[in-house]
Amino acid sequence: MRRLDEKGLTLTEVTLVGVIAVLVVLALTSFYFNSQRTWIESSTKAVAQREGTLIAEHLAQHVRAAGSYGVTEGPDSLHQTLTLWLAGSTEQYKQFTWYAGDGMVHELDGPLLDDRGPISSARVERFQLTPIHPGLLELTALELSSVNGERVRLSSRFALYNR
Amino acid sequence: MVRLPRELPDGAERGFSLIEVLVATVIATVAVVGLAYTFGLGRSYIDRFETARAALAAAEARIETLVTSPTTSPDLIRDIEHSTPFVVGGKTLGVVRWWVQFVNDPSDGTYSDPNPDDLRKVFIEVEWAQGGVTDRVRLTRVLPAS
Repeated sequence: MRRLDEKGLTLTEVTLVGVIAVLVVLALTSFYFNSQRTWIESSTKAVAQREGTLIAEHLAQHVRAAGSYGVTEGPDSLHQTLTLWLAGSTEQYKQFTWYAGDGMVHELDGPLLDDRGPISSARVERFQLTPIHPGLLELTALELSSVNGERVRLSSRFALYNR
Repeated sequence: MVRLPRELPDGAERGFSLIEVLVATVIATVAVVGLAYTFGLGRSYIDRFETARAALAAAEARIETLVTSPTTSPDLIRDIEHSTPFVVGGKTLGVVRWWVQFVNDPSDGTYSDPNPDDLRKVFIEVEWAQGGVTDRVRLTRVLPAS
């Protein structure tokens, strides 16, 4: 029989409170890590999307300025190389090619094809182009991977305005 | 040294009542579920923007194609709706529509000239449905009539 002036908790109460506390902590921890993962995935994917748009806009800007273009296979089956010439010139104006070392598309400048570095900071998994006709080039597949490995795809077409 | 009384005065209770605990639990649950919902919502917006970017690229691709098309191209027949599927990564997500109208160039100062078809105005719309929501991207470009 319990006395009225007893203090403290019984073993059952302590156990019950412990179990509830552990469940609450586990739920909160799980929620925190899930939220953090979702946040990081979303952020890195949004960055990859922006990078994709930037690459497409950068290509569009230079293709529009060019008078002619050439698409060559390589360096592997998923990536191609785009070479641009200005109207009336036989010297290369720009070249865009994928480097296996960093997995990015680089911009090479001038007749000596000086490497100006990657045109974006995202890894490019696929860079494929299709010539439609001498005045129109299709970016058939631009596929980027985010830091977390999620893929972003884009395709577009660019006209040569200075033929 | 002050000693605390061993017994509480009459009417004074310690701890929480069941109702208080239930109300606090409900409020905490609503807050956590609301927070989780915002993360899911943010994620769905990111996916939606991805398709929107692809749609904008598709609309620009259509404009570039029309810019280089001969004026006799069937794609440039005026006042009818043209369409083609909106495809991303091999999957059809919606439709690309465009139509062409001739407009008078007000800068030539001849509003009532016998041939008011000075320019060709192309309207392009990409429409797709995602997550029960229909989205659209619209672009307009004015091209020479010939």
